[in-house]
Amino acid sequence: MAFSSPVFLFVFLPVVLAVYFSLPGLRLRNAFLLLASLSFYSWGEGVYALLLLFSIAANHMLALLVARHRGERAGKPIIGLAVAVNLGLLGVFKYTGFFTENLNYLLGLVGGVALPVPSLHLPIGLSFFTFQAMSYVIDVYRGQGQAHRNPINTALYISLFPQLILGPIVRYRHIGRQLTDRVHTVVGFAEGVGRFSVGLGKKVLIADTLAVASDSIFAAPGDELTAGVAWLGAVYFTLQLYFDFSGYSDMAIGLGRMFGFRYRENFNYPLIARSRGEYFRRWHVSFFTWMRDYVYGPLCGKNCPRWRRNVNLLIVWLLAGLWHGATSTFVLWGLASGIVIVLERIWLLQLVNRLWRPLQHAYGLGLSLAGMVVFRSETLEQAVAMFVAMLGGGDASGETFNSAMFLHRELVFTVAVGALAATPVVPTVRDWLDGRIGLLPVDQQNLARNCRLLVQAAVWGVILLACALAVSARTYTPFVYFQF
Amino acid sequence: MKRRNEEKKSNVHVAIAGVFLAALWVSPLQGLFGFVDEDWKMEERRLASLPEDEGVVSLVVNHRALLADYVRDHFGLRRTLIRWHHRAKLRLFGRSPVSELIIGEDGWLFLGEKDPLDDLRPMTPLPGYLFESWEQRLHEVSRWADERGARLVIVIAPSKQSVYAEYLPERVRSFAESSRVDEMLSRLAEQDPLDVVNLRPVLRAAKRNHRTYYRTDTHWNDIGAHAAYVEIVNRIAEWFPRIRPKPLSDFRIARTNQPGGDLARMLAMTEVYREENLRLKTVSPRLARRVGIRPSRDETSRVRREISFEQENSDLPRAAMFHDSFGQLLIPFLAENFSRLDCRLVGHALGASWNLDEDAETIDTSQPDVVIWEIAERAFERR
Repeated sequence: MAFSSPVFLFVFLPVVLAVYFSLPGLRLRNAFLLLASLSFYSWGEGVYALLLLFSIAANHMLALLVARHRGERAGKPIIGLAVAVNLGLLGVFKYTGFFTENLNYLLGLVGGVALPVPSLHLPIGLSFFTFQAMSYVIDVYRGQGQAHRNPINTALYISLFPQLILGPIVRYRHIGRQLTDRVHTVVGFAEGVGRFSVGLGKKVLIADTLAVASDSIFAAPGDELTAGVAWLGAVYFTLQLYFDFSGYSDMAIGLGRMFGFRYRENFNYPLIARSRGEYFRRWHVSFFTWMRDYVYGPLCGKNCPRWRRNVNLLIVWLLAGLWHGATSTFVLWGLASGIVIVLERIWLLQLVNRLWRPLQHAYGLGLSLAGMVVFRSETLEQAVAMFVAMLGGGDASGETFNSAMFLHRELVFTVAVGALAATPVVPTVRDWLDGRIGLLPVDQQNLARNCRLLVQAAVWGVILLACALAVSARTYTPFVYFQF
Repeated sequence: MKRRNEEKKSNVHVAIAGVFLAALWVSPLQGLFGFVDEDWKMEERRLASLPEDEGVVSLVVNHRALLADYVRDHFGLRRTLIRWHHRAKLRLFGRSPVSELIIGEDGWLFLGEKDPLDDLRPMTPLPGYLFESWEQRLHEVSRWADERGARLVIVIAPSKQSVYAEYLPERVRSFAESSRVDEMLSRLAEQDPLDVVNLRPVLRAAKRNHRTYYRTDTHWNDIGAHAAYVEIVNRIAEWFPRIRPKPLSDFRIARTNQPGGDLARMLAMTEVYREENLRLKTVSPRLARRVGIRPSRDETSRVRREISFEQENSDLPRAAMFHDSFGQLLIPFLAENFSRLDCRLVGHALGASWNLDEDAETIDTSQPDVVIWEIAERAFERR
């Protein structure tokens, strides 16, 4: 169930909020929130919700075991088992086909017989809730959190619907206490409303609008792309993915806030980064800090020589690529990002830092665009064709696809809004306003703050209304003739 | 300072929370208790319905997809929100809110399919399977007519954009120059020539005097249909010299202002896009009289039907016509030129399955001298 679907917006969310706030006490509310979250998941995944339940049950028991044997020799095999169970789930459902195909390729080289490639359904959100579950057991093992005896709390941590299917990957050490001790305030709820509205707007009004154009461009044969069209495809997809993903994170953070949870930020204006390293410190922060703390850290240990750190970085990036999807383009995207980051650590960043600041941004943005082309391409050949077209190496006449087709008023407006919203203009203006308000006489400050808040609320209202219109319009599927 | 501001509750926060919760419930409450307008036929499809005698729990457990479809089609305020969206998008961006439709110049609307650019874009060569499928279908009809000793004339009704390309948006105008039909016909001509009336030149010529297509509908109007009729009858007159088409001067043009046509309906804007309809009223009394009209035996079908006309003059040949929606307006004209005309509406453009024996069952008994097989150009674009 997508947050931008009519079922979620017009049925699920109103009902869940109404019931949740009408229940007395946190225990009842948690129990209901768990029920709602499991319903949310099983609505789309049906029997695969059993996988989520298995993950919850296994990690709940393993966390209790780990807590009991923490600091003992028995602790290590238990945590090893927990990691194996979680990665096993991910491996079976996400990577079996990919690895079998690659194995068959190798077998083909030595004349071996190809194995049948299994086609397993990949349950939505598996990568997210698996990492979240691992964070729970590992944090308990490390003494950074207490294991919950009440399975409802464990289940709620792993399956809480706002972040269940697309993150952010909430860390147990950050959220564990809030499961049993959180406060619901009107201010928090109102802030959640605002954040949810902004996220929904990012997804529905910007990302989905750009997706139509970028999908058309990436679906076009590579030899029919002019340089202009290819660049537009790269720009549109870069903005689309950012607003889609960060929009989902905003919605998750906003929904969490309505229910009294405080999630950490997942995006921090990555498109203004001046290096690849900075980009990934701003992009999908919950995932990359997870990788840092649970993969890179343990790989390196305390006194890791520089060369090993760099090799480990490449390993982490290869895994990051694989986590995003079991295809060669994701592997290439991960490895290429890792190589650039290692080069930046060695010498490239020093060079870039000497450049004029706008050129530094151009460097960061250029790499983002290139990365997104690889990320979006379905095959390596397609990525190469896009790069060739972007560099003017194609021989397309522009008769079939030309830039004018993808530069109509709606797209230009959306890109302009997107470009503005991808930079911290709004928070800068808001902070400046708050600063000015702080300088007013005390008796006028409240009025000024309320005025600012009213304007902000009006903007949220307009965004929500525009989203309601767009979501409704998507349900409209007319035909010229009556369809039977 | 910022932190302190966040924590300080004000009436505005209360208002935000309250308005949001209230707004969330507007749609569900309207859906549950609001007036449901059954006249919503803009989408030309059956809206999702739920199985009877199923409880909510059973629906959620066993029919989630159906329930999602039902919510999608019936959530409260849906029609209002859709109309607002369409008007806002049109006004702000001048863009079609429906992807299958192109907003042209001066209030002209055009049909595309999925991505309108795809239909208009110069095509890669016609896929072999498509050509073979149509070739097979056309020859099947030809054989069927031969076996009955009837002459066959195949009539292709041009898409609006291939007659009125000048009203297309500039970015796609040049795409309308070529058509798959041209390629299809030239390839067919290389093999076994069929008698095909390509009406595009005729309609392009006729538009110099009067508008030949509706602005807000996919079809030709009475004047366009008349131009097509003249061309068809002239072709048939080569075999049956007794028949002559009625000239345009035998009719007077009546102008009516009416709600927009099928394309305006797709936009849910039949009142915004109104149509000035040019209707042809015959000056002299009609000779042909309707002798039969039958809905299809298929009870789900609303559009398939048969209709027959007869007149006293037995010197005139008998004709049968298989046609799609374009052919509807040809019928009153053609009926005047044949002693009997049997018409059978078939859904070429709908991609309906083709079963000549079944479709021609009633026509077969009338033993026509001429078989007219009319088909819209856009049917050839279907992939």
